[in-house]
Amino acid sequence: MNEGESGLTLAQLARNGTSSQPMVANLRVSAAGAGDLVAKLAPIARFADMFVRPAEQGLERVLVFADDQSGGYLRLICPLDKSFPVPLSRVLPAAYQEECELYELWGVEPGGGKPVNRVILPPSTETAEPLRLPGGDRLSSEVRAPHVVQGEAIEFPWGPIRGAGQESLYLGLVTTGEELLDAYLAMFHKHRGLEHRMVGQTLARALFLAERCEGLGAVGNALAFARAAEAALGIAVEPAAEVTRCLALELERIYNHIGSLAALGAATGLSVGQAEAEILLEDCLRLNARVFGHRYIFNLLEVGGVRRGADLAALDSALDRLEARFESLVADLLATNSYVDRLEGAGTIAAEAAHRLGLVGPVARAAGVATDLRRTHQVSSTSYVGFRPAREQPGDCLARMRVGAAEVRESLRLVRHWVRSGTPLQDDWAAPGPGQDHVGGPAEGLGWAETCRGEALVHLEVAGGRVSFARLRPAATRNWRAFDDALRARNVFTDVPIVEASFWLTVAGFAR
Amino acid sequence: MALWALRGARRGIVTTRFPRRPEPEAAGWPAPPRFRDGEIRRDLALRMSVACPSSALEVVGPRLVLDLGRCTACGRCLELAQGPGSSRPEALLATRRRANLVVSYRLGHVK
Repeated sequence: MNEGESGLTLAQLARNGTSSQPMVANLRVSAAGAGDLVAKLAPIARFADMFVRPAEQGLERVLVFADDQSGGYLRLICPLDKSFPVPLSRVLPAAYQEECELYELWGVEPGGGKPVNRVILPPSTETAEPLRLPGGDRLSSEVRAPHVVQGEAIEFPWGPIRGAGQESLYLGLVTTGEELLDAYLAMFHKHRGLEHRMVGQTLARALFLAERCEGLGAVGNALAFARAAEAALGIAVEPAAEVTRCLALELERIYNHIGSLAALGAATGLSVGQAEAEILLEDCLRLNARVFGHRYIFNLLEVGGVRRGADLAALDSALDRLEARFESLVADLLATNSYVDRLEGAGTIAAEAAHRLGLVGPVARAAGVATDLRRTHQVSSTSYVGFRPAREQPGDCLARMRVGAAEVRESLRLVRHWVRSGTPLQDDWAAPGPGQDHVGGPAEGLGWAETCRGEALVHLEVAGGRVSFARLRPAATRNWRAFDDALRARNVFTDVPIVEASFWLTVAGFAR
Repeated sequence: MALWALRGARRGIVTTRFPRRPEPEAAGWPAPPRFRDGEIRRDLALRMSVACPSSALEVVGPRLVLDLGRCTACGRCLELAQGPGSSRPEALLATRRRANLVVSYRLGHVK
């Protein structure tokens, strides 16, 4: 357990709070007291999320902190004070992204005159009302952080359409020609208002949306959502269903890391390596379809369990060959100097920055931060027995590639263990019947999962079996926070696709 | 780079014969539904249209209208209509006209 200078620990704070869910504590404080407490929490806990929600009396601000030592979350809840004197991101730099969101959703300024980036709303809505506060004070262009381009530099616009199959993303690359001086990102093109659309929906229908939050993270996001709903309504999951979910999560991790390898091959001009990784990726997607009925493992999870079992024979017969081909590919990639040279030292995120920005998943682990919910925040005591999280340094593209490779190995080991050791798994492979709806509430739950991109969080409030409030926080939301920092770290123009491929984030996960 | 030239040569051509030949693997992948004309009752059609998360199914007068351009092949409707409904055998839906993606089925009588 981390201790701050005052000797305060997160567990001590959590003991003062209320709890309706194991591993999660709620602590209510006044708006005035929140600032001090956040300053005390910053050095001892990982900032995970911040959002605003409607409450009986006005609006509430909720901050979620993670305890990566002993596992668990602390929700700090305070009345929303629009005139927060100091921006939270001054003590919690990781919270800046959320501060920008809160301005566009609820009209809440960070405080202290700190300007905000554009995250959800396009420029054409510059003076619109906040998205969630119709009739509220109109937004002001004066609050926006300006793009600073000085001297001989220009802002080179790249996107939002950057190539076939790539997500919409505007990258404003500030450069004098070769070196990257700064980068501005705009992702509002893909915002779909999923959280808002969930309100009033049944849990089954809302889970359908959570699953589609980011197509390359369907299992992870749906799992976090399902766990939030199960925590809210007190629904127990059968051990076999829980392991089956973990199996799907690891298959999702495997194909994503191989997808990242293919993107790295494309970014470094290694076309044969790219093609080999893409063949392997396609084989993984086909294996997913044989095992779970869908290439991207959609339509598997439901609140309370899984909708279908796995074809374990198909999976078992493919594992050894998949691993051999993967190892051969990685060995040859790491033996290629021109490839390794392009990755080494590019897009470096130092461990200090990873901590400060609350990074999660492979991006954090490549910077030496051993945060992995499969080890620290285990939901089931049996699923991840003997799990070994990957960890590398110094946080550059090569370290992220190595972490990805190590995670594929560990995922294959886990999958092999589950399939061959007689671990109870749901294996009744059949077309699923109609989804089950649940009633209950009002109640709230926090769900989490270590997805292929890191920690996904879902805060869910349920009333009468329908969603009354939802907050999705996919891992991509956290890690985009560091992407522009990585680009600024002594890179040149042609490093941008390499850094992007090594981060392997989705715009959809941010612009949900 | 000789390593990769050798790997590439050893692999040879890796593309499939698609679309000249069908992709056998695709037969098991999720595909939009098709229904047997006149065998979907109105109450079932209404339940399916409510269950469809992308509003691809709609009951219009005496017909069930399926917009394949909106369908995401999630299979929710087929879970309700396992008798008179099935997955389309073909995954290829490309067409030059949007209207070709809209098909309709005659509703059956309520028994």
